[in-house]
Amino acid sequence: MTDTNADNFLTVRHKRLMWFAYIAKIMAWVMLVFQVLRVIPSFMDAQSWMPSIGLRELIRVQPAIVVNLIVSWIDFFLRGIVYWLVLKGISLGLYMIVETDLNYRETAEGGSDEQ
Amino acid sequence: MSSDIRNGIYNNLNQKSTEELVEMWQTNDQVEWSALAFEIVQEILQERLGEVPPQDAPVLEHVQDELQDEENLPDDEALKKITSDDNPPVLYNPGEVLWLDRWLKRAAIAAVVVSVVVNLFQVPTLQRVIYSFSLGNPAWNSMAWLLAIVVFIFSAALQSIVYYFSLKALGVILKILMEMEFNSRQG
Repeated sequence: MTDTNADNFLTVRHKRLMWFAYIAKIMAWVMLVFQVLRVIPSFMDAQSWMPSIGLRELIRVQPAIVVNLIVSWIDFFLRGIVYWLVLKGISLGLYMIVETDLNYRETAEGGSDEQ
Repeated sequence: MSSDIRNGIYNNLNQKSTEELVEMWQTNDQVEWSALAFEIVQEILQERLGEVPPQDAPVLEHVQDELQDEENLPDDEALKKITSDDNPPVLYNPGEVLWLDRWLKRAAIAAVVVSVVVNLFQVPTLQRVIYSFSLGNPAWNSMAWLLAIVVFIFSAALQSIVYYFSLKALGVILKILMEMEFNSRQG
């Protein structure tokens, strides 16, 4: 399928699917940024009470709290990456479905022209 | 009955173009086509061309290895064909699909590890909640730990399975869709 032919073939359904694909692509980045931003309040909260105790002292006395904190940050970050990958995958999948249908239509129209 | 069959085959073959019939006649694939079919092709070519072209030696068995090499390309080879095609797709980039598939596999493994670790850190909290139901009875302390561990194993396993197989399935679906789109371009 070429660029110029694609414009002639796009139906309302194709455009709708492509619109969803575009939204999914945008939402992928929104979710990634949102999940990364969720780390900030937790980090700032930790910053507020950690100086009074000291990080080294805290690791020595309560290592589980520090590890729990780090794991929760990694969890937020990983969720953002997973959301990004899944929404990007959905976007690509929808584009591929539209392209496949357009290819089949182009082939069918080319076949009927020959007849 | 035999004349009906013959007429049926004749009508089907007569719809093919002369080039197709000549190719079929010359290929002489007697695994794919019966002797009756060749007889009818000869008749049709005689009607259309006035003479029948020479025939190759009969093909009595198919070379399965060649067919399998063509149809069952290893994944890497098939994907190379798709991504290096001279007529690339317009709406998406095949390279991006492969990149996403690789990262979905990595994310699947990372999600399992993080699920297990996050749930592991919930075990002490869970134990305290279960123990609180026993109204502080010391005999229930060990039981509470046991129940907390069982719940941890169940929830970590369930979360891991959902994350892992969902992400892997998405990668496989994307590759299948890409292959379908590639095949649709080949006509």
